[in-house]
Amino acid sequence: MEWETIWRILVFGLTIGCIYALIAVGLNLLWGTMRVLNIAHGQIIMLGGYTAFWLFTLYHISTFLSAVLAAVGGAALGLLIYRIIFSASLRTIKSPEAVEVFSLLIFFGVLILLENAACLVWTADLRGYVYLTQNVEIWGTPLALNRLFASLAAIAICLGFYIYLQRTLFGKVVRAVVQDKDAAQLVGVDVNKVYRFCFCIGFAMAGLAGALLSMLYAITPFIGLPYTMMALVVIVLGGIGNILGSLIGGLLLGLIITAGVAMTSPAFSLLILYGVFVLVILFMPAGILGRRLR
Amino acid sequence: MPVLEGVGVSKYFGGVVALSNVSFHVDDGEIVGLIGPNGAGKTTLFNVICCFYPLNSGVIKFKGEKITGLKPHQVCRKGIARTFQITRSFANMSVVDNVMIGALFGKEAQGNLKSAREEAMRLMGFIGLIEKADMPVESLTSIDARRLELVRALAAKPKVLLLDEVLAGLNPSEVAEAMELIRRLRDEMGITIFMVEHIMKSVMGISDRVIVLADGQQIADGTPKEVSADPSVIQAYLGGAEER
Amino acid sequence: MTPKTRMLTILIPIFIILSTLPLYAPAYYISLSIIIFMYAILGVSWIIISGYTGYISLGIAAFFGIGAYVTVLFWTTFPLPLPILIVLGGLVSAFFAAVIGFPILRIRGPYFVFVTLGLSMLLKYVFEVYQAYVLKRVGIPLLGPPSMEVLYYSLLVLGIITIVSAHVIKNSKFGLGLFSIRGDEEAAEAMGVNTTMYKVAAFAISSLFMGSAGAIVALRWTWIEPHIVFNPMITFQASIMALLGGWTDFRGPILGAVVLVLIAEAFGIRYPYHYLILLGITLILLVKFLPMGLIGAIERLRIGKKQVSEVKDAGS
Repeated sequence: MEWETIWRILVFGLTIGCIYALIAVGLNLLWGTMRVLNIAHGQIIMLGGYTAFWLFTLYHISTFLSAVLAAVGGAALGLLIYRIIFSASLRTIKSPEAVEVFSLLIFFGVLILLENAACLVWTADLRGYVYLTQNVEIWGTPLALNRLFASLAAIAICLGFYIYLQRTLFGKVVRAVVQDKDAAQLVGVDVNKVYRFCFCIGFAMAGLAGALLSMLYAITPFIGLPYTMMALVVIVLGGIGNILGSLIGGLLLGLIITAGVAMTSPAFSLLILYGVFVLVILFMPAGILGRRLR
Repeated sequence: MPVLEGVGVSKYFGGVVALSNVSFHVDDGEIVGLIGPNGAGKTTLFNVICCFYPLNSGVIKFKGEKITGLKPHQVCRKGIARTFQITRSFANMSVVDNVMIGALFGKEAQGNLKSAREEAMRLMGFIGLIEKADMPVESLTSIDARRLELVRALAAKPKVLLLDEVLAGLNPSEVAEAMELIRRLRDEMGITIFMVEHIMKSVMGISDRVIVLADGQQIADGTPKEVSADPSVIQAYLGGAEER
Repeated sequence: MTPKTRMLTILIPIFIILSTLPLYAPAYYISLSIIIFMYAILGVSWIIISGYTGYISLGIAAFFGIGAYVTVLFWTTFPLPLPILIVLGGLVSAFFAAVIGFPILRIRGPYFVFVTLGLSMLLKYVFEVYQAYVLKRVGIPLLGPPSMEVLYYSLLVLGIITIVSAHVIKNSKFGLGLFSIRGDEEAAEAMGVNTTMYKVAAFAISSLFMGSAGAIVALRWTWIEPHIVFNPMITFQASIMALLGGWTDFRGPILGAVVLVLIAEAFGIRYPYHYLILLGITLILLVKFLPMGLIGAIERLRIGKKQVSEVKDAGS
């Protein structure tokens, strides 16, 4: 393979990987702190995408501004879902495994609801728009400006959030709850506040990622599931609750999928994704799964 | 020939040494206590005997036959049954169904449900759980759940019964009752007992022999009298036998 | 009346009605019954693995689709009598389930759910690539299929076999072992249950019926594309129907299938998205308020009434 192709794979893989990282971090936040499995994460992304699309198409609002709005909308939705469904249940359900199953089934319903509501309201047609598609040259490889900015925004948010977790007091509180919820409660942490925070931030990240993605790819009500699957792969690889792991894993997966598609064809992208997904879960070293499931 | 023995048993979890070159034996018809400070490796030893984890080195033999490398259900079928420190009953099933699992899948695996149920009821009568037979396990008190754990293990018709802290949380009269029951298991049913316990008075009172683990190593093996006088045992418990 | 007699007094008339339906009912009702039978079979076989052992599988479409493609393969190349085709579809599915079951049933909890869903999607895309690049056709027509009545009776017979199997398993040593795996898998292993073999067996048996259903329904649909037979909506609908009805025994999936297919027919054809939104909301409400499904709720009401009358008797 020539150097030029490798470089192109690197640039493309890493830029899309930044967005994968953002998506994975958002999902991991809920999974790591509360063992809440939001398999409708992809549908929140989808909603963020539509938000950006309509704001741009109807009001010519820049995607980066609508990304902020999508994030806020996502946070509001997350808070709503937390209040209505989870705040009571998280208190009564005892084992983390039971929380996982509960949230999985609940969000399964949310997935079906959101996907079909989107079909109903916006039809299943492909939606896309043109924004910032001029190319810049990154060491010889042409890269669209929107892709560059989207990935920079995504990685900045991921890193910013990671630093927040490491440096600020509340960030440390969140990490404590990831490590040991009961111990954190014993030392006086208000876990409900942490839960609300995680729901808001996790959903906000999804909405934001969706808005960024809408610049790069066409959106339909069905784009959600592959992103959720992708995020799950990243989290399983990087570790549940391990934010940095999701960040690095997202970049890595972006490279793997880009390389795979480059070597075969774009038609194979979903096949590669699901193939990687199944293989990762099948061959995951028992340590990562076992530690969590014991 | 001891009915259960281990030679040079070692088990590591990553960098943590849970068991280091432990050798032990339990003879037929004995009641052997397994004591040691928290984290000494007692439950790990039980888990390793039942083949929940593979050994890093060493061998475990049951009735002279090597059992390392078997799967846990095969170990049970050979004749070793256990209770768990935190009771693990089968959720969403009735009490008698729980016991029937032991009868159906244990050493003398019953083929049909009817005879398994009869056997289960008989054993529950022996231990005083019979009125609760068709109730869901979730409705049992913790004492009864403990009894269920024991009965279920008995239904598997073991030759060796591993008891993991069955006395924890019991009041003195319940402890006495439990000790009497354990003695009857050995005397009337010929079951060899290997029990992990923290309640010194009881375990010293009932055991023929006591094995002491500390930091994953075996530091003593003898009669209760010998062990309680052993200076290394006393030191392992940081200056005195644990009283409760 | 003993419970057994009561069950028979309900089942026998139903059986008589169903087995004579094609003689007097218009084609529309036969067609509708076929859909109900399909989802009932998928649901009942689903609970054999997901209800009894607690390993929630989202791979229904995978095994359904395999059965469908077995029919596709033989119908377009090598003619075989229908019963053999149905059995073959089931056996190939079951074989695939057994082979894939050993590695994936080692995986617990939500990971098992993911891997079954992922497997189902993977199969879909593999077959899509196969159709696009190897067969170079979008879809495959099944020409000269058996009549709707024949397919109706095939599904009815398959349905009865599936229900009887689920019932027999539940009340057998095998079934008790499966329930113990759901209750506490490690404790079950410690008590002598060969959990690996039992899980794989349950998985294979449930896939057997799913594959056979797929083999039959393929001949009803007659135009086979991967995204039609490996459609995740089949999985979602079948599992939600089973959860709605109740996962503990065969009555639940049947009830769920009847209720939801009728609702789908009533307004789902005109308003497909509304129907699916309703499905999503139903699932959320079920999980939050009615985890044992409708049958479970009815049982609890009955036990509650019994307890109330016992208290009354005790007090009088």
